[in-house]
Amino acid sequence: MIRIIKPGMYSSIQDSGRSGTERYGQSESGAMNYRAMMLSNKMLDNPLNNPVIEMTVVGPEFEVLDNITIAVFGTEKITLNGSVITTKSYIKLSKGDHVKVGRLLDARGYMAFRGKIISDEAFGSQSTHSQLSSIKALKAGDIIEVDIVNEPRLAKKKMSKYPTVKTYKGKPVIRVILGEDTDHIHNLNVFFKEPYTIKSDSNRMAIKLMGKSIQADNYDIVSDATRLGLIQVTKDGNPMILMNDRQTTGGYLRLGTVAKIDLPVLVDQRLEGNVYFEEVTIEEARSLFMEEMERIEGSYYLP
Amino acid sequence: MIIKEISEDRLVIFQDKHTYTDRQHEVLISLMYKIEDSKLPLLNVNVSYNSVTVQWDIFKVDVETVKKNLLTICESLEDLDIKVTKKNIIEIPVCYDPEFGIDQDKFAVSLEELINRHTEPEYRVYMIGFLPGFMYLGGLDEKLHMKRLVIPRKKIDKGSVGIAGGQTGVYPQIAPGGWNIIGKTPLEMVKEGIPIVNPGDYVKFYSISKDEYWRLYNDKDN
Repeated sequence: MIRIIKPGMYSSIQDSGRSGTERYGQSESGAMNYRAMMLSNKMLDNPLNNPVIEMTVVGPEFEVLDNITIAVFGTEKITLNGSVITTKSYIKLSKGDHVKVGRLLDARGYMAFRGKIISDEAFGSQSTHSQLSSIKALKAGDIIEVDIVNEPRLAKKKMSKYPTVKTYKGKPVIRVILGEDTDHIHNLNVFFKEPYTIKSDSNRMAIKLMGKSIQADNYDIVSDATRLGLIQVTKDGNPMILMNDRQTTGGYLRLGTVAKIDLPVLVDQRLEGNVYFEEVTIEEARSLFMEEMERIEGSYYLP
Repeated sequence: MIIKEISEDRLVIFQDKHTYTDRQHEVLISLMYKIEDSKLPLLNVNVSYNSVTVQWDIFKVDVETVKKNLLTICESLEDLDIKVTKKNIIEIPVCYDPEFGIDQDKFAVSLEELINRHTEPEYRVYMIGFLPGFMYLGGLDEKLHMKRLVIPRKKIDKGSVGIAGGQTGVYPQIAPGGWNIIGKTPLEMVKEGIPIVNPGDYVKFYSISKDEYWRLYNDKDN
């Protein structure tokens, strides 16, 4: 068990999300960076889809109430009882320890606990949905209970490889599957050429972008189903990427969909950071994602 | 019917027509249920005004198998002459008291006429979305069409009944929004995460007094 002293900027319990609820008007939620969530569990020999704490920009500060083992992704060091320690491998914590995660390297980080977080479940998932009321984000005073696993003993593990990120002019390149409404867009080439800045009001619902305006003959469509990674263009010509806590329907122009392979890279980008976009076919995006899942589940990143 | 892949794990099935009739929508509803009953490893099946979106588990079955199965289901449907035979009508009580209906003034009709025109139709539920349990309804009386607010309100009460353009609907929870509010329902639109209406159902509003509103509001089993 831990007791949250400060929750950080926005910390919430997330697993791989829920399915089957879109027809009720509820999106999947779940960890935005599926890779970091799964690898943090893998470091602890947990099932890869166990719930973890997703952290945003600044992680939480907490008191340890039972001996537990954690794995932290998204920062290189945390503060344990006033001393700085590395997060390269898992960390054993003792009752009474005081932990401060502090500022993350990038926008998002993940903290897994050996065993399983015990928390409310809805539609088969423990994920918090920022727009719904039944499971809330963490706040000061919250206690997180963990069904602790101690056996068998954990082997020391370190990341043996890191994900590769394609860059252009030093900025990440995010791959995009073309959308249904590109016929209405006059300057699609601009989107695939110019940098776009991640606006600071981006959140778990949407990553909002700012950059060269997308010109279209009509920005409204008949409201239709949305999806994770859907790039909509709003009336001001700015693109907006729908994320895990998105609305399940929308009426804006659909430029494309961020390929799943690049969602972890996208959600890790700092607010106000720049990204570029590149086109990818559905077939290629699908095989890239399936290969990545094999790497995560196999021994590529963590032996 | 046309089947088109839209992402790694989603495809959309749509009719190549730009009209939206209840009969066409009924075909999509039948299609949605038939797809759900299939043996495919599906993650989501959603219906909208003119399409059905299918999300499947790409680690369990390849896209060609999914497409082949869906095509068979579509073909079996085209053989049937689907009609809206039995309407599932959900009745929703609405208190149109001006205290709740804060935007009633904008309408060029009397309160009595507004109530009559709003409670007269059986509205078809085309889809659920935007918020959990929010209904996209068709069939609003033309005299009640009203542009949405230029500046949306930061907070609209749960249960508020509104109009935006040619659409009417109910806010199932507190939310920001730009709809013109004409009344309020005490009914819980979502119970344990599941909306009380489904796409393909019909909704009929009926007018209740303020006393009745509060009686139903305080009755937790409503």
